[in-house]
Amino acid sequence: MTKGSCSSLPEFEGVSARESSGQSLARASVGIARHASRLGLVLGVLALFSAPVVGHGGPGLNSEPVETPTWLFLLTGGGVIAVSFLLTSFVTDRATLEGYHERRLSLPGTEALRTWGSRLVALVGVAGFAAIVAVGFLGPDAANRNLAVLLVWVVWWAGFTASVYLFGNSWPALDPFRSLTRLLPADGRIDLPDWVGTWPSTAGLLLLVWLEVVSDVASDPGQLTVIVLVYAAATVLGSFVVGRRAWVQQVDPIAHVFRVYGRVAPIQRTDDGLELVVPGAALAARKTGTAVADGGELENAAGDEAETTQALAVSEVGFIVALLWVTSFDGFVATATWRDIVVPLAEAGFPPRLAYFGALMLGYATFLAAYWWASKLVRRTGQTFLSTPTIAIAFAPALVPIAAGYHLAHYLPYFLRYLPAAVGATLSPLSPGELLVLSLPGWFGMVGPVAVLLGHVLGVWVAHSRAFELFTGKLQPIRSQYPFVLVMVVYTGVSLWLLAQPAVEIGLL
Amino acid sequence: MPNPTHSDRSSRPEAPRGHPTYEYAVDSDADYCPTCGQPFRTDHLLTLHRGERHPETLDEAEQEHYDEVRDEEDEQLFIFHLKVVAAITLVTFVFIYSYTFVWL
Repeated sequence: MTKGSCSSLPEFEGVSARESSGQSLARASVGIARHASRLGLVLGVLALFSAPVVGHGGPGLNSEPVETPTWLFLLTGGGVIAVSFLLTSFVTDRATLEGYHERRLSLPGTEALRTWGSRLVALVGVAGFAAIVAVGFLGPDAANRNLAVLLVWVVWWAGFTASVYLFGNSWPALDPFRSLTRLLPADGRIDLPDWVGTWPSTAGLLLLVWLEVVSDVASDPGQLTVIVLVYAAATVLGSFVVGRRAWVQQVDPIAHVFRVYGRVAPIQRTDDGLELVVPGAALAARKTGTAVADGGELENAAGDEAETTQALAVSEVGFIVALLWVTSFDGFVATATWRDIVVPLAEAGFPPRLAYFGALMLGYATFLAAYWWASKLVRRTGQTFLSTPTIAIAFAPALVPIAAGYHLAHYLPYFLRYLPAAVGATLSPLSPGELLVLSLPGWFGMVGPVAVLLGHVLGVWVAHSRAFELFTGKLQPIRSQYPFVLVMVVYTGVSLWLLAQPAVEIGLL
Repeated sequence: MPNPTHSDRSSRPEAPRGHPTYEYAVDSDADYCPTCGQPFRTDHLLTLHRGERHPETLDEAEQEHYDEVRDEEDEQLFIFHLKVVAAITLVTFVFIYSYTFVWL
């Protein structure tokens, strides 16, 4: 029997974060087929193959939710990824691949929308920031009734992040921290050297996740508000020291997360407004739209586009892998397996916070090493002289949809359940009355695995397209993918396993 | 400092925007493309590359050789696809069996 898990999300009192879920991946396959377009061929065939299984557990034949043993559930997940790779190997025409990703629809009237919309949205952002600070200090102490906690964790971290990879990145407009720094001069006191790349944002991301896991920031409004204020202060100080642009591009972890997720989305920014692209196109295409106005290109002090150096590109790989790792880590620290590791350590006298930090860094190092090893192996299977860093850099964008899929799996049920509470708290922040929590139907448990699988399938597709850019002929690009597919199959299994674990309370911190 | 994206090798494979120029680590005998200098492990791959990216530099004989190599590749691809279909069939069978007999 498999159950959904909600990791280290705020545990609201009296509400179970767990849900029993009917895990029928066969039914999931049919769902995937319904929502694919170009991928419809790939996934439609998959659905065909699963039809006999749907017949077995379909409506009318079996009235109870169908539950799969874990091993079968994981095997199916891995199998879907392997099969989707095999199916993409039938798409070998270069013109088709390039044409698919370069299809763009320029949206009319969006230049004005961007100008005015971003001003409005910036106001909303600042208002939200003020509300969080005010209600965090003055509002009720219970997490599930405090607007600050609900705004930050439900509306922003769950809901807004999903909107970024599903629709488009609106953070540059919404970002209240950036709005705060608009009064500062654009240039900083020091120039960050090239080799620094975006490593500071990776360090920032790891630090934020560690903090979220070891402190009560997820449930204590006071602590949350303090962290938010500290972040604001750091932003102002940092922007003053290194310059606004360098801060956002290289140091700010939050802006970087949204910038990366935004590349999965169908709506992208251009010089004159917005354009619609195929999902994943901004990850795979040779020429991504035009200037990603507020954060795609690094500029040096003179405002000229700096060349993308290998140091910078490698640091970007480091960030993307970190993003993937922290989504898994978030799930991992709420499992019984982790409890069985950390509790004995704590009882032996080892400080738990350090244990969490150690696990975070060890896991990150493992993920990075695994990705780098796979990239190195591509030199052999793809028969290429391209250097390992070049390969790693070229294929890193394919990892982003995987992180997005996992995020959606984890946070969509959570977001929907607490959205009514968030709305209620907005209407009466300081003394909210009875707040509603949505109870989701059983079949909703299927959303998780479907999201994870969709993310992986999109990742396979993006990697496939990239391979055709890098390599020649038709067999070389396909063979070059073997190491990545292997890693992805293993990672899918791990992700699905994490998703299926019941959430465990580890009362050490 | 010379900008590596404007190298004198005019038809160097163009890296995607935001990607630094492709780097190569040559650790064994390589065949180099006469036009752009990119190294290849086999002559087969070099021929395919030249036909794809620098078709205008090929003479008659080289064009014929490219056509031959491409045909050979198409044949190999067909056989590969047969194996893929077999693999998909096997995987499907394993799942159908598992869901039908092992699980239920």
